Amino acid sequence: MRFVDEFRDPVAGRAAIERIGELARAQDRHLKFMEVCGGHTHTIYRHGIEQLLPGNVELVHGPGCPVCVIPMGRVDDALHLAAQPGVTLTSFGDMMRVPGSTSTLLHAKADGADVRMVYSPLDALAIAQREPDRQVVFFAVGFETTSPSTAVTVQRARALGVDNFSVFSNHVRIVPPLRAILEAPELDLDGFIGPGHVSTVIGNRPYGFVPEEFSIPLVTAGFEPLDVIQAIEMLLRQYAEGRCEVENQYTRVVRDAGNPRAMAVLDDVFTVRDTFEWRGLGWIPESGLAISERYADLDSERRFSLPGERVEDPPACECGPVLRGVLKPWECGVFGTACTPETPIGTCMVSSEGACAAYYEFGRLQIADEPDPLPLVSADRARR
Amino acid sequence: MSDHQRLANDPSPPELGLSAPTSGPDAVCITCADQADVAEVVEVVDAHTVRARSAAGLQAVDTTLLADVCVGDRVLVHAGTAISDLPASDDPEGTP
Amino acid sequence: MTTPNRPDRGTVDERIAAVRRRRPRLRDDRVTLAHGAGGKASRALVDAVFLDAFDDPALASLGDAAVLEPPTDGQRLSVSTDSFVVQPRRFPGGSIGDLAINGTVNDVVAGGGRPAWLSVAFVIEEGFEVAELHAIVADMAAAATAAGVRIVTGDTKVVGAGAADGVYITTTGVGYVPLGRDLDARAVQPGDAVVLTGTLADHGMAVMLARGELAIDADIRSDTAPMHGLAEALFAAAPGTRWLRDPTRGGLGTTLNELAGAAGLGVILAEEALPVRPTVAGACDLLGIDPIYVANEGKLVAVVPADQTPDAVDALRAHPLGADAAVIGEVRIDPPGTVVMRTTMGGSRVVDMLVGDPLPRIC
Repeated sequence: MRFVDEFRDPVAGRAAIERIGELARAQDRHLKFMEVCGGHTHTIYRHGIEQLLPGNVELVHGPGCPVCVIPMGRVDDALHLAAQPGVTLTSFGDMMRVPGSTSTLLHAKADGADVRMVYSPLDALAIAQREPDRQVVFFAVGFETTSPSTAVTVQRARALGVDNFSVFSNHVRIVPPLRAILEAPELDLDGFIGPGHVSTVIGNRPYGFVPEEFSIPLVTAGFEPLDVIQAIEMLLRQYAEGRCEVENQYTRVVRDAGNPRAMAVLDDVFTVRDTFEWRGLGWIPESGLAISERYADLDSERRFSLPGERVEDPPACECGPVLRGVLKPWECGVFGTACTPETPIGTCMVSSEGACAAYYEFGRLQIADEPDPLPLVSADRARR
Repeated sequence: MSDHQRLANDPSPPELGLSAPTSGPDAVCITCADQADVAEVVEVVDAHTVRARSAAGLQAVDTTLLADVCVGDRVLVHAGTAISDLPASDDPEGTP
Repeated sequence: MTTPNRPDRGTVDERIAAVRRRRPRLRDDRVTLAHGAGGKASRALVDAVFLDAFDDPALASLGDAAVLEPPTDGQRLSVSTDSFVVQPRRFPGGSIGDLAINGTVNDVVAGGGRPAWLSVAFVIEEGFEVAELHAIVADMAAAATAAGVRIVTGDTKVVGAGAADGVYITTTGVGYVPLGRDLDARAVQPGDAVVLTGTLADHGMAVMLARGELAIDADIRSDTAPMHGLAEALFAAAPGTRWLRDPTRGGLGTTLNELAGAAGLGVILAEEALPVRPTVAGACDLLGIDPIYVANEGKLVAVVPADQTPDAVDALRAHPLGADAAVIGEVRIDPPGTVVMRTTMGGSRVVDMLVGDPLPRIC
């Protein structure tokens, strides 16, 4: 698809990398940029972008992986729901493997619970319509990219009068954790690569406080390799030109005003929780979304009685500092030993968007081992 | 902070019994991720549903969150829902 | 009152004998437990479904074993077995029947063998439609003919409803390995080229979409095909070919990791050289899957000495099943036991073994 290929163009990529090199040399200091989204983390590792950057430009991986930030207690609540007779628990794929305090949804499924993966919350609603004898619960996770889909589904369930459907909302907002990270004392950041698809919904304006209050630039970026490279270049250019502002690299998709209709639907269906727990980041005010009063009958937290117990993160796990960008994944004590993608302890290792899993899968190649550019002489001859 | 530091001093090992299979190294959970795909509307099915073609083929997409959707519009799809529409034509330069 | 013309005892016995000589006929629409009990019903099923379609004298003798000619001139045998349980049983580009033949044929080919014989064993769920069984067996017969293999022995079992999911097929293949053909990962040398015979991920994505869980409608077809002819073309052009595999479950990434591990060498891939059809690449993107881990059923990956590589690629491209053949990478000393992708952007990353579930997440 041309749309994507343009943003994987190696010639443009290498040219941008060269410009980044020049801009970084002119800075003569170490610059630490955080990519907020797990999707960016994945792109960076998958395309080997980190190794292409100059030595004084460092990328740290932020909290924008919705699976990674779900606290154990909420997973335990989902497991509790799945164990209720008559309940069909539906969720996105990656949630299936997130460890609760004693089990995972995948294990629960193997033990006989009716747990099903869905691609869209609308699919969960369709299951409820097809199987009126089941209580279908959608275990909802995700930032503002995903919460609109859930909101549309809740409105649809109301309109269709489907009464055997409910949503266990764990939706979160992107701005409060950004503020929490900026207010944490130990992290010294020089810029953000801002979320792309979240911003199609909320727009770029909510990020204004980042340059205004914290004097740090933010560039909203797409998810192709060239998108991320261009965003890094734009951050450096702001330093070169003495600017500090919110910029939009992803203009082909993101509007500054976002999608007001989607925001209105979110306002209708959700209400902002006073506080919500984030794995590794602790409690963050106004960071979570609960089902609003208007749709109380479609709220799993009201329909079922949930244990709702707070479960402390496993002691060995250092997901918190990793999520705040303070620790590199490999600096965690259990990285690659007790905690691997096969047997994750922390959520950062569960989702391939997670910084640890991404580093484990793609990033272990030491710079020293890095092979020379592949000449492929024989290939060229063969392709003559 | 932090629960984390406090917990780091807790000597008891995690009792997790984890052996869940994982997805492949590059299997991304596209819905959990902040991932979305561009698709072009080929048919308006009803007030809130269209069929749209992306690089991957045709799919049904919910368009409740968009104002007026016409055949030929390009939309950004996440979890079966169009979360945004896109500028009408491809800017060949792509980005600023 | 007239006396009815009663037949005499001899005539009756003769009639009975005539009926008994008649081949039992399959009258059922669905397979029942009786079809697996070894009696007349079993014989009827075997006759009507399998013998007609497979039509081989060794099979038709219905002995307990096929008795076959040994290889000559010190040739060795390449033997492989595989079970096929794919769902759905029919998908764009093929069926479980095609896979059951081609999959085992290709394993024999990857061992260097020229496929000669197959055994087939069916486990059928009670209630399975005979018409579908006919269709599957017809696919198998056609695939066997295309691959030039004889189906020489077989078995059928029926299990109760719910004890199996429709039908499972196990095939075992035997082929002759010509003298001097010695494929071994330990023979692979630094500097050798890695050659792939065509596009990645067609089969796995076709099956995934055919499951219908994704609500995507795309024109993606399985690549299932027998690889014996393509392999012979490769061996003729590049007699020094050191290693050959068919990258099925786990895809190319897993297969090359096995190579790197067994050879103790590094495999460096060039991302831009990997052939993937645009629709398949689009579907993979949409679903968040790397085509390098998706199953293929009609591709080979080979390690060829550098000096024979141009001839190998030319020969592969001249074959109908190898039009998209390409050199996708090369073998290096470093990093040992590791597969590295040199990305289009110029970076590099580790291509790890597929972990756990070979089927990607649907979300």
